[in-house]
Amino acid sequence: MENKNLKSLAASALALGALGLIANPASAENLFTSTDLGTGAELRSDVLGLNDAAPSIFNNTDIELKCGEGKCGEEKKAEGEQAEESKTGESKCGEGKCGEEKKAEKKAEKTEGESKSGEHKCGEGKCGM
Amino acid sequence: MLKETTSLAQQKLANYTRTGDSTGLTEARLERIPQYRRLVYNVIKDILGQAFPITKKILGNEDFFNLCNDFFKEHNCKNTQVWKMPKELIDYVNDENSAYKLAHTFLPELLLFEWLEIEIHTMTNIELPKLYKIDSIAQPYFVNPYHKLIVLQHPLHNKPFKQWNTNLGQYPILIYRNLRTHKVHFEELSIFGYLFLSELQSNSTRLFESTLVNTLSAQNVAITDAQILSSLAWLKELNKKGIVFSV
Repeated sequence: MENKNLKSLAASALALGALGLIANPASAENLFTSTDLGTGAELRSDVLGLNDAAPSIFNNTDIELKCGEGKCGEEKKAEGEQAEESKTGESKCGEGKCGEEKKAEKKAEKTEGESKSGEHKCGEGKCGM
Repeated sequence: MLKETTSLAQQKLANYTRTGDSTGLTEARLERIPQYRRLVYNVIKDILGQAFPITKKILGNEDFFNLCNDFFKEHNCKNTQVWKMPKELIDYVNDENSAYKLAHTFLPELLLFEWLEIEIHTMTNIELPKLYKIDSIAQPYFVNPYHKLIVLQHPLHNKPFKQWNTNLGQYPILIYRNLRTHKVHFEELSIFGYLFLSELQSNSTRLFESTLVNTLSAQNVAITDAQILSSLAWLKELNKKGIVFSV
C-alpha cells in the first residue's frame, strides 16, 4: 500500500516537473529536520544559563562569597532554583516576604512543578498560607 | 447594584493603585493608601516576573520593573482573569509608539516566546479522535492540537542575547503540549519542517502525499525518492514525540 502511494507521489512530482511548476530540480535530501529543545523548564534554564554574565576572577560577587557574611551558598542556590523553576506557581502577594515566610514560599514554589501556569493570588490574605 | 458614590470611590482607588495619583481621593486616608498600591503592584510585578523570567533577566530588575510599572499605569487591561494579564503586556509593548519596542527590538518576540508556554499549557482540552502510530502514508494525519508554530527572527533559544541582533534570520519553532504528560515542549524545525506542518494543518485531505507535494512545489523544490523517505522518517520521529499521528 505504502509503495503504491510512494509511486503515485513520485508520479505527481514528475507531473509537476513536466508542467514546469518545479523550477529547481536539484535539492538537498534532508529538508525535514527538527531538534528537541526540551521542555519549557529545560529550555528556560538553558536560555538563562546562556545569558549569565561570564565569571571573572575579579568579580566582586566571587570575593564576597568567600567571606563569612553576605551571600552564602544556601541563599544563592535558592535564588538559582527559583529562577529555573518558579514560573509555575502562584504569584505572591506583597507582604510577608522576609525570613521564615520567604523560605516557605520558595519551598512551596519548588513543589508546585515546572509549568508557568497556575493560579495567581490576589493581594490579600493568601500569603504565607 | 452598588451605590454610585461607592462605585466612584472604588474607581478612584483603582485608578490610584494603577497610577499613584491620589488627586480626588478625598475619602481615603492618604497616609495609608500607599499600602494598597504596594500590595496590588507587587501582585502585578510578581505575575509578570514569573511569566517572563528570561525577559526579566535580559532587561535587568530595574528596567523590568519600570516596564511593569508603565504597563500597569498606562495600559487598560481587558481580561478579567489575572493569569491572562501577561499577554496584555505583549500588546502594550507591541504598540507602535512603545519606547520599549524601540529600545529593544527583540522584546515583543521574547515576550511572545515566553507567553506561549503559558498559553499552550492552559489550552482548553478537546475531544481527540483515536490516534495511531504512523506506519502508513495512506491514512490522514492529525497534528497534536495543543501547539503553536512560530518563526523567530532572533535566535532567542540558542544564542546569548548580545548576539540576537547580529544573527537575525528565520528560526521556526514548534511549541506543543505533550498529550500524556501535559508538559510543554519546544522543538526547533527546519524551514521545510515548519512549512510541512503548516500545510498539514490547512490541507483538507491531511494526507502525506498532497501535503508533501504542496509544501515542496510552493518552494520550487523537486521531489526525490530520498526526500520522500527522509520526510517519512522525520514524521515518524514527530509521531514518537506525540506531535503527529495517523487517524
